[in-house]
Amino acid sequence: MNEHTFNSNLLIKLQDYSWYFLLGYFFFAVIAHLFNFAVPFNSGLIGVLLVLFLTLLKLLLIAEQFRKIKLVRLTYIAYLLLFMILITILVRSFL
Amino acid sequence: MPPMYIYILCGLTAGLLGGYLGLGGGVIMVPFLTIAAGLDIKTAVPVSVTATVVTSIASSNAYLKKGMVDIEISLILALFMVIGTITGSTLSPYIPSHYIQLVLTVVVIYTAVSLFKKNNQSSELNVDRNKNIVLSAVIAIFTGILSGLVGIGGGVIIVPVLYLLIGLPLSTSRGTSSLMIGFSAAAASTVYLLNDRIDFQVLIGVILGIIIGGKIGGKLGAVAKPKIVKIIFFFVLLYVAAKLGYESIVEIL
Repeated sequence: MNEHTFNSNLLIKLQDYSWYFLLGYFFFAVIAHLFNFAVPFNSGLIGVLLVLFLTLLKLLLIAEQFRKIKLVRLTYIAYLLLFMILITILVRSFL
Repeated sequence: MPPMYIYILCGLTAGLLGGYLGLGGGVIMVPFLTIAAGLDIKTAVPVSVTATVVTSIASSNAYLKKGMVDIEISLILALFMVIGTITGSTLSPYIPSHYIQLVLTVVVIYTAVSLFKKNNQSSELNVDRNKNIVLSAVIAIFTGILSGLVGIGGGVIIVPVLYLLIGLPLSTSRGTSSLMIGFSAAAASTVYLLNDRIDFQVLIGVILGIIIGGKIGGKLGAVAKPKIVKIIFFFVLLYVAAKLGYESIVEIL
């Protein structure tokens, strides 16, 4: 791999922000549960969806980083991984 | 149903110990949720795999910042691991709980023993990466199946594969494994979510605990690793394995 040209700073930033965001979200969800606050959505379900969305975003970022430095094979692998997870959602949702 | 603080405590303990000892957390969390919180293993596993995705965010970032992640290998092996986790989590409803518990017992014993393996942090083994990639991919599929079935991240198997078969330095193997585990656990979590198998009340407590515990454990682990903690944890894991193993064998017989 061309380690010197892959810019991991964006990935690090995304994961840093994701961590703080998830900490805030799940803290809110637990507090809402403990004090029986009326929340107009299923906070657990939204939490899982957020976790999955952030993972897909991470894969998209990696794929685009590889595309930017013209490492086509790795771009395809990252997109393949992303589509495998998306296809699982589609197949399991409709079958 | 146990109160929320039990779930937070399970997540906190798994995060603390996992971060401190360099484990993913799943191998601690599933036994804790089944023994301490009294949950069925089929409720604990979906919660654990989803929490593993969150753990991966913090742990892989620590390695990324030090340049200790081989993203290419991570993506290639994650592809195969995802195939395994989707298979494992799809098969899970059809396998009785006590058989899954028995498999987990073996994984817990293996983890306990692997705590005392001698590691040379900086050495890089002279291996033919291309020759071993097929074998590594096959092992990644089986690790994925195991991960989807028993709710572990799989680092305890993948790290030795990256070190011994791919030839990455041990610290890079850990970093690479922590990134790929996030992708495979996300695939398993997707299957469990779509099968309506995730207990959201347990999940929010566990994830909050593991987010906080993982951060503190990681910082403690970077400072010191006293051998006494490893020894105590070794015996805790043996106790857990004995309890899980006994219960599952009694059920099977």
